[in-house]
Amino acid sequence: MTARNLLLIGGLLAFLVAGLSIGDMFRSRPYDGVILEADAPGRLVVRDVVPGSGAEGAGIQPGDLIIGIDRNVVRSPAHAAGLLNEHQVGEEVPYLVRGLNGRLRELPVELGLHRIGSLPYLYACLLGFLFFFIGLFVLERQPRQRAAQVFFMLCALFFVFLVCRLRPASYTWVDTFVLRTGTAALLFLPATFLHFFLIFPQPVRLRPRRDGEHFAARRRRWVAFLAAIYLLPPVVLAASLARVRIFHEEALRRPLISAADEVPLGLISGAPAPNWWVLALYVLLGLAILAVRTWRETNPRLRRGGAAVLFGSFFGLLPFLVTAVAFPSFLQTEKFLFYGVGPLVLVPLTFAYAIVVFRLLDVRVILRKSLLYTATTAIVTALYALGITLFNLVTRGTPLAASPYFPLVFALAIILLFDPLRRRVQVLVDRFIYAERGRLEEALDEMGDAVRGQVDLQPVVRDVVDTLPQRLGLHFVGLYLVRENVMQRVAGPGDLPLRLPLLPQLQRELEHRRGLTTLAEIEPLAARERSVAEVVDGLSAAGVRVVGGLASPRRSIGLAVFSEKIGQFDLDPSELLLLRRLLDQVSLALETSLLLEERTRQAELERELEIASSVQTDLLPSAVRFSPGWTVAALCQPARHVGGDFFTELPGPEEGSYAVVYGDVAGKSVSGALVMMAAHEVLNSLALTHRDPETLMELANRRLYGLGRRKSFVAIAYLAPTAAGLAYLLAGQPQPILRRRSGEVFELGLPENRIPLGALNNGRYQLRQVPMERGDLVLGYSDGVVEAQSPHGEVFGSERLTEVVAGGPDEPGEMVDHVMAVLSDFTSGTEPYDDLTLVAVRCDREVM
Amino acid sequence: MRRIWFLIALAGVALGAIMLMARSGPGEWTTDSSRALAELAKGHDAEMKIYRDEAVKHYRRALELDPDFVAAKLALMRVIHDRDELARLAEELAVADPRPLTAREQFLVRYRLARHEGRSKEARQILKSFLDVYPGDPWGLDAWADLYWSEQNLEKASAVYEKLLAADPNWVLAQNRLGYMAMAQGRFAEAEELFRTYAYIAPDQANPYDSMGELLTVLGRYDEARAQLEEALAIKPDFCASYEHLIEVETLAGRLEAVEPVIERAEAAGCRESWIALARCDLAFWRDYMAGDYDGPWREERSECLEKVGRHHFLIHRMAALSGRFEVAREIEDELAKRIEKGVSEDTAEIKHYKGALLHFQGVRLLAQGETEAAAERLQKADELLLYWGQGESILKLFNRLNLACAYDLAGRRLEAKKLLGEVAEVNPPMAGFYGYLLEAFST
Repeated sequence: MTARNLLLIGGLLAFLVAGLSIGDMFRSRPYDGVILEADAPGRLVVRDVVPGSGAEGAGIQPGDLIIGIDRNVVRSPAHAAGLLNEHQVGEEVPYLVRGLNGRLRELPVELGLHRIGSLPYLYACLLGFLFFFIGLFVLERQPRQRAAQVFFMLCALFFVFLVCRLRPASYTWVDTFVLRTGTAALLFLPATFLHFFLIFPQPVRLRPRRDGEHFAARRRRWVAFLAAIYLLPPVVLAASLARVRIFHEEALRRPLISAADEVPLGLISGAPAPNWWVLALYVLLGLAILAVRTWRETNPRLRRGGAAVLFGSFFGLLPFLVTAVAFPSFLQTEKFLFYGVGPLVLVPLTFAYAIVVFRLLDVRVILRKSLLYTATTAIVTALYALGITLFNLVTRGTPLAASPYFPLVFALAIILLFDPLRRRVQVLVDRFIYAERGRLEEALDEMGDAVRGQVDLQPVVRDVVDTLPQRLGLHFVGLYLVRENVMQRVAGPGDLPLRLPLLPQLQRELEHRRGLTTLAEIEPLAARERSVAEVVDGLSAAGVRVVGGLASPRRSIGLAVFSEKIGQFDLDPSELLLLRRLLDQVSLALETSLLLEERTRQAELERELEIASSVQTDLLPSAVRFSPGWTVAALCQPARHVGGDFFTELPGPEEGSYAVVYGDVAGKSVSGALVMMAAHEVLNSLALTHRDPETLMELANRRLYGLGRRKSFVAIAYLAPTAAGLAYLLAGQPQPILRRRSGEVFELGLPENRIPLGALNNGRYQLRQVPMERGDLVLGYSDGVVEAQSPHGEVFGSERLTEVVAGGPDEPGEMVDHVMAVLSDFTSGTEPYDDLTLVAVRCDREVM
Repeated sequence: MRRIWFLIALAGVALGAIMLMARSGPGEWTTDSSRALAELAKGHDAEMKIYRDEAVKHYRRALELDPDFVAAKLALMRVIHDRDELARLAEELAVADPRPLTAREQFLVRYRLARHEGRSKEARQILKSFLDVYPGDPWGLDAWADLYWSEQNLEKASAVYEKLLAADPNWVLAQNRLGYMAMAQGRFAEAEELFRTYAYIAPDQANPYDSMGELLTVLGRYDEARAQLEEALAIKPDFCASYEHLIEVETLAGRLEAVEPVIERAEAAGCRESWIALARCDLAFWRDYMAGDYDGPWREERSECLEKVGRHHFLIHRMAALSGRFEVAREIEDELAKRIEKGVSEDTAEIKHYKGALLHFQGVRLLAQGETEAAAERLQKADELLLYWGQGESILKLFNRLNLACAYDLAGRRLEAKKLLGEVAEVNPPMAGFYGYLLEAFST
């Protein structure tokens, strides 16, 4: 059973007891007109007699002790009620009464028909109901909030106390039951009052936060502290009773025949005086706590609300403490008790006002209507009375004064006046009721305008995270933005998770709830989805209560998270509406600023790439030397601005000859280009001292293997002229294609060792020879050539390349252009998938 | 599991309720005759009013209607004095089948038989056992209080009567006896309140007015006392105790001429002839005493009265002492002493009364003999033993105090005499007026 249900059951019982009390008060019965002191134990002490009643007629006076009714010694009000109920109205019943002088008198009392409910008691009842219904309304709207639960308990106890404890005692059995219930309420009311002000509008530091350190230990201390507060009044009661049992046993034993009627217990309105003192102490403590916290409050709105509650509580409760506790304790009189009850009405009214100020509930409509019509009716009545008075003054002594028509005419005039007057009053009432909300709307609109005008990210974030909590009275607001497929926290308290996964189901839920939802509302989803539950748990532990999606029409931008309000209450529906509107504007501003940021970053990158491309292009030789009797052409086309392919000219194995090396780095774009440049420089620097291709490649392999932690390797092909033909070395590159002058076309044979450079620490490479005759042409290429794809996804492939080479021109430069043209046709001009490198070598000499 | 605990708890509560209901009361009276039951109720009512004869009549009628009616037999045993009848009733109760009887009846049978047979300790144990089980039963409490009352253990009797009144505020005999006990302990205002409450509860009874009359007589408020006693007699003209008290009021008020009409009214009301004769003799002796004719009782014309009244009468003893018949006075004292030795149980308060009376007699004689210190010693001891117990003993106590004051005075202890006289005047101002008369009598 939830705390809410338990409280509601308690409230229902309180309601039933109060109903019983009121019903009994206003029930018709044979009545003597005696109003008893509230439950003087075992005795019927007359507090007052109703004017005109049988008791007054018989001469019973306040302070008299009723000893007998109808020839029976009476021991309790219930016994007396039983005796009276055996008689009819109008009958005379003998009473035995002991007066203040101690003498017994036998008095005949005529029973009348009477209800003992009085106007002051009716007022106390209405006040009690006001408390009860305000408490019930708060509980229904905020059933999970501890402060709302304690507030309901406080209101219910006030209700029971006012209706039961302050009732004039009658003779019925209800008396004992109801008054005892009232006394029980008095036992718990002070502690509940203090408890409420310890957690409202904010919990005191003593109260542990779920996310705080040493939560369990702090919680234990907090529970012990509360238990002590709640236990003190019952302990005081028990001690008072024990004191009487121990020291005044004799007086208790002979209540009837004792001439001295001193009450050893020291009762005030039927409850022990020490309990009233505890009540006064707790109330003063609660007010002091509220005063200090209102004084220290920095949020102006909360400060205004706290001051209102303090004002109402102080001026509502202080007269009560004076007349109900101080006067009976020090002046021994309870005559003025009801004068103290009157101002108590300020307490529920100011609480209601504070509820509006703190916007805990949407009670504005009720208040607005009530205030509107009450004020209008009051003004109309005053006008009517004023008009009639003036008329009487003016027409006094004339026949017109007796005219019955004027009041009628005036009443009609007033009726006509009612509606225009109501509208006038409505303006004033609305100004009063909606002032706070109007201020909030205005503030959020201003904020929305300011955010919408922002193009930079930081001011938007600052507005959301710093300004919004102040406006709405929240503890904090946090902001997450989508970065690299996760939600990254960009602002908010450190308790919030740093990253959140980007969960499509959560995004869908937020869209479904129009971008804003409480964590409680997505609990069903969390119950189904473990990943959502983890996110919800993380946020909830950090104190988040509401999450709002930030999204543009084309993508999700991020997440805004909101704590509970400082008054520990959730945002109300109207505030959520305003917040939703604001979040839309924030989303747009964020999208704009993010786009602008991305665009700027892209432009910078493009500029950098252009520079890199030009540097890379500068590295490639404009013309490649080989050896006399050979013609060479080479081309390198990167897939992006910068590429991973390259070619270069190195000193050949034989004196005066040059070798052509072309390479392809695993990886493209900037990273590929960087490795390519490293490989280019390694090969060129090593070649200055090592002309032998195999040694050169082995050393280059070792250097490149040690480059960085990210393993990047380079596919290399080495072509060099020799006396017998062409020497070639392959390290990861595809086999070059040889086209004999005779038209025969084939791929060169694969060497035994051909691992790309940088792939293994101890790579071994093998130089191979192929005889070349005049007119023979070799085409070397990188894998980007054969892996090029048509728009339909068809791969260019080595067979097609072989065919192209077979049908291509004889001139190496033209062959390269021819292959590139065919490739362009094949790919229909789309951006190449990979860098493309082509090297064509033709033998122009005769074989020796 | 939780449900099982719940069911166990529920069963426990139900069992507890059944047990409570089972022992909620000891039951009422067992008879098949509703008329017998009505007669028993009337008898109880009369008994509460201390209309003993009426009570006897109702109880007898109840027994005629249901000869096996145990409660009626028990009630009858409370109010009759005929030893034979008491023995017969006890025998019948002893053989009565206890099975159909209620717990209260069973207790009363056992208790009454134990008392009747003089098994005091057993009777006390029976009473205690019953009250352990039914601590609030008024009949049990009444028996218990009555036990203390008969022992004149005033404190304990008061406490039990308080309990009885808490159980049944309208048990008027408790009000009456509490009033007497308050009076005995000198709490006269409290006694007055109790008697007034008693009169309020039972305005149709003569006894509360009679009790109030007694109290007011002790307090010297003779006019009020007379009115109360007349009220009693208006309610019940044959309430002979009120005539007796009325005679004492008139005597103490010094209105001896008003005594004879009262005696005549008593005679007309049917009070016992023997008592009427005694009352007339008393009146004659008082006349002699008030006239200072201390030889009066021994004159020829008083010889019949002297025979009727008996020599232990305190007025006879007093006049014997004042007339110098010390041997006669001493014989009266010896007779009283023998009577104390023979007939009065040591553990009852009655002995205090007789011992007090004896010491008073001795003190008066010694005072008359001029042995003032010895007289003061005896009279002081008598004061300690005598209580304001009813009208008779209260008046004796006050009279004793006046004599003690005389002894102090004649012994030269004037301050003590004055203080004591002040105390007497505080209780009964008119009676303090006798002091001069007494002092003169002893001085001469």
